[in-house]
Amino acid sequence: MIQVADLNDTVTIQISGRFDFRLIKDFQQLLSKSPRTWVVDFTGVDYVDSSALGMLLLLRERVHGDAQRVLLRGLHGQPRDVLVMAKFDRMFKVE
Amino acid sequence: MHEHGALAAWIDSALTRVLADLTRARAILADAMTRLFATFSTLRDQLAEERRLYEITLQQVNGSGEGGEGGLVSVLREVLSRFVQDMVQISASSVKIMLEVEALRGHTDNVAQRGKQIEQIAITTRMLSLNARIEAQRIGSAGAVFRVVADEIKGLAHQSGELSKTIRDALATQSQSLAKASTAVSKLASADLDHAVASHRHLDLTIAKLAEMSASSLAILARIQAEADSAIQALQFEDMLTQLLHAITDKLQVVQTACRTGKIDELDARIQRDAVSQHSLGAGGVELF
Repeated sequence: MIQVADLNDTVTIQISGRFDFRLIKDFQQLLSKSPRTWVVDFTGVDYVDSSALGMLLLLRERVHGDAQRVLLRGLHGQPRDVLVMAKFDRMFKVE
Repeated sequence: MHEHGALAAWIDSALTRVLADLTRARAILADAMTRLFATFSTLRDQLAEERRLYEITLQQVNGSGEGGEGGLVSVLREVLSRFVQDMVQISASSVKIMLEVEALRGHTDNVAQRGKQIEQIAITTRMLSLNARIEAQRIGSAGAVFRVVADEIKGLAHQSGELSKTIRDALATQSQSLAKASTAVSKLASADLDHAVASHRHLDLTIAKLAEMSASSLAILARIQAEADSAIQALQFEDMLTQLLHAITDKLQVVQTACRTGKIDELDARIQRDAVSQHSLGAGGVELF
């Protein structure tokens, strides 16, 4: 499940449960937005697959690779392990 | 006097035998010591070589420096990380393709919707041509030309309707193919990375265990090496023992000479002389070979 809050030029994407290929269409709709900053909240995420990481890369492309404009928040467990292994902690701002 | 002579002869004979036994004992001891020394020296050298090879192997496994650069462990970690990064890149590209395919499906459905509108126009046109033909029929010979035009319009409406239907069918097939492509690409985009993460964890655990075992093995090797050094050091006291045996032989010969000649004064100094001043292995040191 995905919830979106658009406030003060910041779009916050709050995901709960599995962050996988089933969210691609939701993400497609989000990509039409162009805020200054994106926040992806992983607090409620317990699983990610490679498509989730692919979607994050697309988000990164939207901000022209500016790591400061995409913030990953609340990483823990399997999502944290996968993202660290893929070295996403060097490509995104992690809180 | 006779008894003294017999005793002296017996002592002389006994000393000759004891001296012969001592000579044999010295030879056996010398041979045993040479072999033991060679064996322990080889053992010590082999232990040193084993330790060196072990340390090289560990260095190749763990790499050099604090970051363990160039080691097997670091290479394996990098391979796993690259594997995940490649998977993610493939997923990112697949997600992009999927989004494009979905957009194309949307366009195809829109075009199919337009086709339906064209079909509706063709139906309406056919109805109009039918009405025109009825009207042309009603006004008689004057409407003959209109009848021909109405028939042509009917034919065109029919062709238009058929063409539109063909296009609609083709678009429906295309939409189905795009749906299949989207499903296939979504499978490509969605890879489970748990196995890679588990492998990474397993690698970390193996490294920790290997480090623990290595430290323990190196400590054991060092202890065995120290024991071998200690044994070699002890064997080097063989020289002291040989000197002692020489001294015993010499003193027994002195006793034998005294028995034969009956003179002891000039021989007493040789009996009183100490061959070795040390009384134990721990009392002094001997230079290692």
